[in-house]
Amino acid sequence: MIQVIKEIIQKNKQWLDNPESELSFLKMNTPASGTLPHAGKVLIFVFEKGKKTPTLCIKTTRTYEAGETIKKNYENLVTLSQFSNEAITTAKPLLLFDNKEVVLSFESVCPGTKFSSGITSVDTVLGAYILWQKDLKSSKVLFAPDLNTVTLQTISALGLPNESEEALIRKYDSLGEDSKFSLPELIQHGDMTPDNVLVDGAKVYLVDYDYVGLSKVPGFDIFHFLSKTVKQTGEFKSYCELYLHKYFDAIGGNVQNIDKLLFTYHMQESLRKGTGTKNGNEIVSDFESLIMK
Amino acid sequence: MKSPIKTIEGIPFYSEDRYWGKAPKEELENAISLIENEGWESFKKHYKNRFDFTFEENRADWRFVIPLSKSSKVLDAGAGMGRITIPLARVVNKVVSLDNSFLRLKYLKLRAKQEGLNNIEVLVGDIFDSPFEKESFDLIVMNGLLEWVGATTRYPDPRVAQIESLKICKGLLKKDGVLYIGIENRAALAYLRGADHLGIYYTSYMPRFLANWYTKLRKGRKYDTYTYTKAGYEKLLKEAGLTNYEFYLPYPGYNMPRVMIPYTNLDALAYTIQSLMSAKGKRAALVRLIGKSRLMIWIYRHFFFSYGIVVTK
Repeated sequence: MIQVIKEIIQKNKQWLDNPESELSFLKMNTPASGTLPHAGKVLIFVFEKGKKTPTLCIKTTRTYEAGETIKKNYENLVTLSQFSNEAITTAKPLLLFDNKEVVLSFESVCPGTKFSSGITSVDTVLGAYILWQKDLKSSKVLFAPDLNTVTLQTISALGLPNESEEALIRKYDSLGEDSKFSLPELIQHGDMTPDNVLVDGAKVYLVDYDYVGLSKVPGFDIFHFLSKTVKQTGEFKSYCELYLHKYFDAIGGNVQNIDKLLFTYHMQESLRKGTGTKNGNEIVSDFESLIMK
Repeated sequence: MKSPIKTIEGIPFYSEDRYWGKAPKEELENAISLIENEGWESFKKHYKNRFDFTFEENRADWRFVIPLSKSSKVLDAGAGMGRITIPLARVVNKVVSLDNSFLRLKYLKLRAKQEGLNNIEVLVGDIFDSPFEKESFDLIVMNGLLEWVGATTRYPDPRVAQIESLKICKGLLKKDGVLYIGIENRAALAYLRGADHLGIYYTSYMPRFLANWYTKLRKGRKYDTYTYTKAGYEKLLKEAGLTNYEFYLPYPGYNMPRVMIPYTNLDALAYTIQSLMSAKGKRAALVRLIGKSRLMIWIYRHFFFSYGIVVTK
């Protein structure tokens, strides 16, 4: 595989800052990558001699059969990169390669270091994120989502037994109504964990594009990011309220019952993580203790 | 290819069977019986947390920095239970798995069948009984093997045995073929809190004569599992006539190469520390502090746990 990569770079020297530079290659697996032959991604970073950060990132998988993941990731990057602005930047897609033996995606590398927690940094990241989404919204038409349908579809997708599903729906119904609920349909990163956020001074970069897509219920990125950064402090809900209201104001949304929306996000996160052996009542209990507390 | 001494259950022998492994031989025998009689699901249930490591697919992930293709032929020397063989067999033409232990290869063969991989050939033997024709392989793997090669009875000096094994590998490689060596760094900081190969602390740091004396005193056997620093490996390779090599720093170690960092590029090591490693925990914070100073990174590199050495013929 490395020989294929070297040949492609040789033919595309314009990707390098210095085309004559000596190159070295660093390989890493994404954390999820491990015990299954077709799971996870492998990243190869290309360093030009004397440069502190890599110039290129090449994504691939252990087996060709798993290459669809890379194709999807690349297509998502192409979509998301069109929306890069001053507030939030992504990598630049360069080439998707498939020779029926290996799938490789070539992209530029975002500078910066991984996000590390601290309220100032949270504010930096979410401040930039909200500005970015506000900018995206300006070119979009308002969309009135049917929150009930989205939530029920998500609960159904969890694949739980009937009694568990009913427990989740009961909880959702008990959170009241929001008759004026309205949010614009917006593109979301979909997996905004601290590992996927790089910070370089005031600049914020998003990496890893597996879950990019238009969302009928935007705001999940903020919920997901906060769930990975401030949940331990027991102040998760107040952070959500603070940043989500700023966010809805910025994108022109109307949300009066945030509890109902938080439950929908919780279902979306449960779907992402998998429910394991938990039943509906335990998932509701998690919602109460981790989010509403 | 030479004829085998004997063949048992379809596995040819080129040397006598010598079982090795952390699990007692009887335990593996019982595990194999369970697989044969009740199937893999029973095995997985019964031996959870005992043999799970053999299912990991990321043990051969160093391969991404090595030129391999669908047409490559590979020798996995010291293949054991197939942690390297299985993932490699998914992406190359053929893997020949060589090991001293019949039982471990029997397990490997069952795993290959379970995975539907019919491009794996297993044979009992050691690198000194190599039955292969010259220039047969595109890649030879010595992952966690070279340090044990010195334990052979054929050469009184472990270092001489290691050089001879490298010369044999050189002969078996095709032109431009690659030898991959995964092995510990003799000066690794990890040896401050973990035992050396023969189960004794600090022998890796000692001069050989002292390690030998101490091992005889503690274990009643000589010290023959030599590891080296980078300079030591370079000298060893050169004496075996192998002069074209690249060193990588596998993180967290050569048995789990989640990251392969090019040794000569300090910027790549700094980038790994600052941008790729987890930012959580006190240890991570300390390493990130080291990552801010080029001198500290240079020093840190000398005490890394292990090396991945890519040697091109």
